[in-house]
Amino acid sequence: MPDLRDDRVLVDALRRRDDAAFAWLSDTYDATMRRLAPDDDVDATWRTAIERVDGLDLRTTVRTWLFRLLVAQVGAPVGDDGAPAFDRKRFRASPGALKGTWRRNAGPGPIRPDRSIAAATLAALPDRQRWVLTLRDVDGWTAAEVGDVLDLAEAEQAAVLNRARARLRQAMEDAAT
Amino acid sequence: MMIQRPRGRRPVACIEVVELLTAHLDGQDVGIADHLAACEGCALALAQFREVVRVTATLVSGGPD
Repeated sequence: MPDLRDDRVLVDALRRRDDAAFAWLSDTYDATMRRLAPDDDVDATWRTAIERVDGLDLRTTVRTWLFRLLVAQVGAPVGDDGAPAFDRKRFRASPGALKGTWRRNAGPGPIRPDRSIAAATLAALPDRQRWVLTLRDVDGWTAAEVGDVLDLAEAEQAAVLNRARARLRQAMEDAAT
Repeated sequence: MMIQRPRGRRPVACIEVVELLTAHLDGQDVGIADHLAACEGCALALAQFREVVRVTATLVSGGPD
């Protein structure tokens, strides 16, 4: 059995219309795609992928190619509330050296690191935060790959992901109190 | 806590540090390492972000939520 985790092997198999290769691709990425986009758009993306596989080049990874097709289908996720990582009221507003430091007893409280809280909060995130958090933290993609799919510069992506993680952290803090 | 940034960077306050935790975890040089070493609140926030990342990684796509 060829190692389909190797992109060169996978692309060769896809171009031969190897059913096992398409099944592997679907088994590996379909669930993530359906977390991020409506079923109709995911189905359309799969049809496009099958049509365009002959034009796939290896300057990118297969999965970034596939998810770029998904972005082309649904549009780039733009929803992002831009909320601060922590409520601004938790920091001193007074001028001088202490401005912007934690207020007394307003630092991070205990959290309840529960996966059901993480799942519910993730599902309710603004679109762009949800995409970045899903690809980076759920599926373990690199920052470079996510940047390639979403056309996000490294610093901007880190800011989006920071807001998403902060939202989950806050939900876990709320659940602990 | 206000910590002087190295190499002439201006001091960075907690309210800014918490916006840079992910960049720091990504290995970007955002100049908050000294602050994190000295500030209990921001260090705790960083530890909690790591815990969030650990829990989120268990939500494997296709697995039960």
